[in-house]
Amino acid sequence: MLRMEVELSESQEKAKYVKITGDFFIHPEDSLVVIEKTLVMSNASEGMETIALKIEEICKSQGIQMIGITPQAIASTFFEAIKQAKETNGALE
Amino acid sequence: MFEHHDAFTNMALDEACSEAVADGKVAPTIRFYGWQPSAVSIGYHQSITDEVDLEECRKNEIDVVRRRTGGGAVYHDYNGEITYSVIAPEIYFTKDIIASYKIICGWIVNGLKTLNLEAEFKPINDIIVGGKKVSGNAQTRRHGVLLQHGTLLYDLDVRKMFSVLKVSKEKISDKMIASVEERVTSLKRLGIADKNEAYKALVEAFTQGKEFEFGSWTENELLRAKELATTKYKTTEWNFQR
Repeated sequence: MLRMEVELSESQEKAKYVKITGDFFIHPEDSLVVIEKTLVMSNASEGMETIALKIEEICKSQGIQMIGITPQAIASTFFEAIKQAKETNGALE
Repeated sequence: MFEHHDAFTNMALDEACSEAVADGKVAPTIRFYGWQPSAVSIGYHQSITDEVDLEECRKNEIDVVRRRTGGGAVYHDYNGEITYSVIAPEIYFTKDIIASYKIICGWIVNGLKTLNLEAEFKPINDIIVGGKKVSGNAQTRRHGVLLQHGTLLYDLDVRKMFSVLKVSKEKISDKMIASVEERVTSLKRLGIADKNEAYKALVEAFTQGKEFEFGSWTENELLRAKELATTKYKTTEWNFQR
């Protein structure tokens, strides 16, 4: 189970806040913050594959091991969370 | 000696011992313990409010604590399980985390075999008997020390478990309970009536082929655990961090 909470930036294409929760394993555990920061610095227009690759590269360079989640699942959930946040913002306007 | 502690002390003892192992002050340690009062532990990355019915826990005097390890939320019944921790320098194990799960879970499998139960390791971190889960395990590696803790289910009360974990109350149907009971089992259901017999089998299996002695906590470990329980594991900052 992977859950993601995002808060959109003004542009609506970036997240200014990302929180990932779930029952997965990441070693070292605190590197989840690095993944969240990577998502905050990413733009949805970069595309899902590019963001997944970015996460993959960070995992490789920093020796991060994931069990129960993948960079692809994180990127895909990020896009879904952005989409939902946009819809919610649209509904509130 | 099998110990019972509250959830905060149990997690604090794991960490205090990990620190002592990291500093070379104590030998690698294996401990077996229970939870008094019953408790819910959540995985390091989980949201406490998403996973736990805090009001129900408060009403039933059930502790709630965040673990240092990942994984899911677990209901630890006072009478319902045997919990263990293995705390040792990381270099004693392979770097491959799943392979190291297999090694430690193998000790549980061997213990269950002495009880005439055909147990097997199911990657990533479960142990099953007759296709049903009987043990869940979680691992972290920090400061060069591996901590793996896990539970061996002795008795299972699915309705109680669902009442404290956040499952829609409407969804707690007989069908849902039956579905969990199809996937999860316990030593009691497998015919092991004596919890102490299971504990002894685990001690035997965990120590097999190792030089060991039955020890007790050092004064420093106890003091540090007391400090960690108060300043970390009981705090809102720790438990509500996600």
